[in-house]
Amino acid sequence: MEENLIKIDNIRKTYTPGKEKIHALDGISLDIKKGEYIAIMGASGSGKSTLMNIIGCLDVATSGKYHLNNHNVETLNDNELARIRNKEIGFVFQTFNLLARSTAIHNVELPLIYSNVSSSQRKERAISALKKVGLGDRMMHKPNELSGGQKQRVAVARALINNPSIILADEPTGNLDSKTSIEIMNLFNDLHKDGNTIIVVTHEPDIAEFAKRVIHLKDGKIEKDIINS
Amino acid sequence: MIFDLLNIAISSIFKNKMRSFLTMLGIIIGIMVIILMQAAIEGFRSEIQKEISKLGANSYIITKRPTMSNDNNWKKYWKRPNITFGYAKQIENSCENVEIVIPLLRKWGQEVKSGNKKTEQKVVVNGATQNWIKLSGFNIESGRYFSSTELNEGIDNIIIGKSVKDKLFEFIDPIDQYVFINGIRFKIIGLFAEKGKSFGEDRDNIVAVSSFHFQRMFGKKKDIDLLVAAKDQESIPKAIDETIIALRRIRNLKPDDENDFEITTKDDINNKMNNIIGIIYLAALSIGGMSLLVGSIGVMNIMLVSITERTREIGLRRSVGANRNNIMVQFLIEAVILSLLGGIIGIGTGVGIAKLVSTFSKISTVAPLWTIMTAFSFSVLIGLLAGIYPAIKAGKLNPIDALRHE
Repeated sequence: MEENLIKIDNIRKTYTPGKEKIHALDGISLDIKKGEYIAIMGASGSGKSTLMNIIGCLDVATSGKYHLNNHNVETLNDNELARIRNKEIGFVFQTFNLLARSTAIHNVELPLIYSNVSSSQRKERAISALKKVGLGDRMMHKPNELSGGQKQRVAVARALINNPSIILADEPTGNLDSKTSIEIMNLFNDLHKDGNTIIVVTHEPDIAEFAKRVIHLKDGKIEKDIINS
Repeated sequence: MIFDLLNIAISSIFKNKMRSFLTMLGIIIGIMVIILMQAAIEGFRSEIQKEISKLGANSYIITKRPTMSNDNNWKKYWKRPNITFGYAKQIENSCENVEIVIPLLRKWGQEVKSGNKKTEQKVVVNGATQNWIKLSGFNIESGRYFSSTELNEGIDNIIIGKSVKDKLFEFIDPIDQYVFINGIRFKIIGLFAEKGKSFGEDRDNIVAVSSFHFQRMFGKKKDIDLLVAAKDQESIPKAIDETIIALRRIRNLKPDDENDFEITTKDDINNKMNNIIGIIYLAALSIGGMSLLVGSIGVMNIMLVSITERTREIGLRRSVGANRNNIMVQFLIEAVILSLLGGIIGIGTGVGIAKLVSTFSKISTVAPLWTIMTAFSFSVLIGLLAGIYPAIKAGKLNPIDALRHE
């Protein structure tokens, strides 16, 4: 039996932006095993972004328990959360979030700067990550010299570089045309085959199709948890 | 890691060259002003020191009014009796520790003629007494000084400085030649050794005639200053006491009357000069300081702008593992480098201009090393102070909000 990489137990997240409390997450429990490929779906306001932020250790839950790779996340302070993000999580964003004036290599090695890896090693690892996503010939290009698909590949390489426990992708194809979207999703498929744990947040059913397990959220609760056949 | 943060800071400064430069301008000007003023003051001070030391090691001056005074009581000084020619001999004779007393007779802006040649109207004419040469700081290069008979009987002889000689007798020996000043004919009996220039003033543009002829040409001066030389440095205080007693006796002052004359020593001049320099210093510091203050506000402003512009970058860095301190230090370093760069450019231009000024003028301006070091550390401090608030603000940004920032 594979061990649980993520163990979420009755998580709640409430915001009070005005007078009324908003329950963004209203008692979510979820186990994710190492090597799973999951899509989290839901309409806007369903809580999927909040769940992703909590899984990604960008935010902490109001109540409930979250264990990530045996770290008890809800007890961690800012510095420790930053370390978890650095070592355990690779983010891929809808808007790529690349440093506009830096080369692909520099963008990819960014997480390693914050884990004190020497610059020669950083470069070596960035090159191999870029080769892995098929950008071996675009390493010195800056984002404005790359296509949308290539930018997202750089972002994926950046997510991979520190060998994280999870790759967390938030609408990774939201800014891409359908052909490029399929390319990126195929890339995720390959990464999954290599043993990476992948969580994709999306509202597009076509994209969710690629995942092996789809979790539907509605009003801060899990509505459906389906294994794709 | 700190090296990487340094790298990030430097590259972000150079990505916005124009903006960074304009931001640095306040710091550049502030540091430059401080360095320049400092250099000018140091140059000024050393010139003054040179000048004062030429006064002669053991001498002091007797005047009617204070030589350097900032009180406005001029009426009181004006009413004092004049110091006259005769005082010199009286003081010399009655004060045991006084070696020499000479009257300071000087007239600026005179013209010396010989044949069809003439000097500019810039020659200083000195009225000499027997001991004048000993205290004047001049030496005789060729020829001789006045004899006492010549001085007493008013023989129309003259000793000329190098610049006067060069103008009137370029290729011939001036000794025994004749020159005219104010229509009076003088025979040259000596030539002063060259002294060079000070503050752009040509100190060789002088002549000396007997005090008798001086008064004949320019009228009997009612009030004169006296230069007194004590026997040696140690006897200066005693000599001053004796001088005061002698002057009070000449003036018939009662015991509780105030002195109605002034005695100024080299130390007095020094102290007064230091006071003046102190005031100039303060002025320079406040001008430079204000510019630095404006400069630091500029740095703070640009850092705040930069943080707003780069909110998403901050969010991204946070999401890939930067903690608050990493972000804070990154922006703090950027502010410090910005300010330090401004400081270095300011030091460079300041020192450069100071060098240029001393090359092309006679005023020597030197920027002392400690000023440069102070300016350097000051610009680091400014960077820290200007950067701390924006840096804290950047560090406090919530990664989720920062990532969503448009």
